[in-house]
Amino acid sequence: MEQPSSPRPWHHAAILLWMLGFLVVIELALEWRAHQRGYDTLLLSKERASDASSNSPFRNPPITPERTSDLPLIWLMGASHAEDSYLPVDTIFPNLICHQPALRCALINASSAGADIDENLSVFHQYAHEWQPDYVLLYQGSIEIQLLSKLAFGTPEAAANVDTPSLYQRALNQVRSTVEATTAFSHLTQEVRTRLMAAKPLHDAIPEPVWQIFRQRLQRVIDAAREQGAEPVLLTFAARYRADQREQFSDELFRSQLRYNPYLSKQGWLQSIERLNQEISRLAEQQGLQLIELADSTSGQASFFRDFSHFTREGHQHVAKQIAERLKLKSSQLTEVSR
Amino acid sequence: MIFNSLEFVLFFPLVLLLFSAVYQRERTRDLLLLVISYLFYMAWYWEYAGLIAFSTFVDYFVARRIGASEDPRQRKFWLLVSLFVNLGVLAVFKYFNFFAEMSVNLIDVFGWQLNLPRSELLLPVGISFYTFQSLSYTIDVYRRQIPVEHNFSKFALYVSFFPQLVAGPIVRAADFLPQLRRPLQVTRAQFDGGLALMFIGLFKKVIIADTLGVLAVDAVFANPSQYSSVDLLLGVYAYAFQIYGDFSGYSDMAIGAAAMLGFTLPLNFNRPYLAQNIRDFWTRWHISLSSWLKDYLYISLGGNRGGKWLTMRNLMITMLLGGLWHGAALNFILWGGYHGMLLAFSRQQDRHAEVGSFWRTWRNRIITFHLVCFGWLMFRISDWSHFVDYLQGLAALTGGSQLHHYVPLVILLAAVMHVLPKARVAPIILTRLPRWTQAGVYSLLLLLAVGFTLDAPTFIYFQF
Repeated sequence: MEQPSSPRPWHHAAILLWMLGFLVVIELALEWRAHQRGYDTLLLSKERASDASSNSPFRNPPITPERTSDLPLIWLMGASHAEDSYLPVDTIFPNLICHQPALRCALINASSAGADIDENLSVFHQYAHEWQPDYVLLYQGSIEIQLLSKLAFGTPEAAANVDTPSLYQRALNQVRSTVEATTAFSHLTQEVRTRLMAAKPLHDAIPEPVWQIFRQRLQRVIDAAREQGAEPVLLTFAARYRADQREQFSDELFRSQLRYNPYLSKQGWLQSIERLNQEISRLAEQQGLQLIELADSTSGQASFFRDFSHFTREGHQHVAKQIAERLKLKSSQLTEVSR
Repeated sequence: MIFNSLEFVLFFPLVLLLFSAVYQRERTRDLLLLVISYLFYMAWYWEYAGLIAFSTFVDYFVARRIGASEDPRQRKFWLLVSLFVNLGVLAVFKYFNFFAEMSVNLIDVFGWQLNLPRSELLLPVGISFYTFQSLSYTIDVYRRQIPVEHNFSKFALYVSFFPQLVAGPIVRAADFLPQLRRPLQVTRAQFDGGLALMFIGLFKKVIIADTLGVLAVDAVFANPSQYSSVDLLLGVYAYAFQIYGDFSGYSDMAIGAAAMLGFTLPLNFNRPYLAQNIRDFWTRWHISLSSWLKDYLYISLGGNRGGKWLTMRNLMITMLLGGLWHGAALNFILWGGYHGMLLAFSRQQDRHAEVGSFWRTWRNRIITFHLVCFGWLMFRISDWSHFVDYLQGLAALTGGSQLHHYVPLVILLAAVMHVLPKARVAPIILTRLPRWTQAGVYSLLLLLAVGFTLDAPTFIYFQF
């Protein structure tokens, strides 16, 4: 039945278009401001740090299995600290290690921003048999702490959570990540959300039982490396502040940590990193593994860090030098190299 | 899909666009809204959409049988079928494990052992809301208060109308079905008023309720023994405004979304913390449920017609079941019983308590608010040892606060918002502004809501 004509609801919806207009103008203004200050934005991005390995799954200069045959091959697992897409590929520590005078080697940097140990292992299982690495180095810290905090303090996942996202979920995630890439969203997160997070009761330590999970995760890396005939080498994790430097941990820097980990207090962060390094050291000692102490010589040196845990160029150089000096190659390989 | 989600921000303008295209063609409009409502629900668990369809089919069929019969026994039989099916679905999906555990524990007291299986079924979102809504229709038809609805799509849309499907308000057929039979008019005032209500609801939900939940309630209720009396008091005030902001915020958004489509839904909250006694509170809090319980349960039990003791009994039964409606847990039943006792006691008091001096009015409001807050303690607590800890902590009268100073500020903001505007003044003020100004205000509110969105992804009342 056709009803008498009246204005369609959509005719009233001009107000929604006004809103959309306001939001677009606000975003463009913020993007322009951010761009003027040298930041990448959704629409106005500057040239990214050149990446010679853009076609490779690894963040290092092009490398082939043949080229590495006469050199000991190191496989490095890590997260954004070792991937560091904000700096040129030849200035980040994994790619500087084999250029140090103390060491001749080839290296595959299989680190990826946001990747935890499980994701590192997944890449390792996919590619390692092809490369046959001699050493597997693990540099993981804040991402693992993030995961352990979530396990300890996060809300349980929704019962209906699906492992494989549907087409609908994938499309929605795409829209969501675009929204989250806007400068307005970034400002709101940094200026509003993290302030609120800092105001909520935060935790000063990760509970003891959860560390058992971390030990199991480390063990999986060790086992995977050994299965491939490689020697696992553990690295302690370096951060801008040591546990006794809590006073220097600025609120602004802490808030940027809260964007990724809304559970731990400043003290919680510093203590968790110390505890994580203790776990790494203990496991290395128990199993007679090589341990490279990076935290001791690096943590607390402000000039090495551009934020809480990501290195400056100076930091990358220092870390590469430390690794090169402390990594002990097997005598057969040393002979091979010296020849 | 919840109202304060990206999904809804994308979904609702699309609904408006499609609805605009067909809203004058009654049949197409009904079908479109029906499909949209089911899609909205299926964004949670598509499997459980079948349950709504099942309730709908049963009540549509039963009501037709009731309407077609003049034989009281047959009419009663079909009503009992509807009650059995609807309450049976609720019993299976919501209460089975609770009653099974109660039975096992009870049998255990006598030294016997009983092994009952545990249901692994998930609780369907909004089941209590749409079941009660559908049930009210068959009861009204049985009571000859409304005519039978012969058009299936209209009835199905009444049961599943998406703005209020998962958390109310519980709409009566007598209010909703006539709206589907007359030509829909969406005036600009209605549209703008609806949009204003949606943003007011968003503010209540995200900026008041979620903030209080994350900054105070979750932590204080999880470990009450670690907090001072001041923090515990702030914690219970925070919860009072959290649950109000969360639920009334959802209701505002539901009413607003419906208004933008030309439908009128009933008011669900009317500044409940300004109630002067507990009876007054229940005329202001979750009005659609309390009036449902009154009309279909309390009055069916005999209401206040049997004298003082029967009235008290009826009140207690009604409120105990009202508590159980909220969830299959002992604390909800005790919370209902506590309110039943307060209501029974309140009936003995002065019926005209609200007519008094300014000071007496505020004294009554403060007392009532604190009585309600005590009830919220029972409602929120998940572990009875925490309840004891909470009361002991409050009684210890210890000072100092670990909570951030934002907590009292947000409570104060919520209290001021509660006291200042009359129920519907804020949307009226907003809609009197030029449209571009309204759009500017809403854009800022939207951005603020995005900034305030912490880790509280859903609405408290969805679990009911």
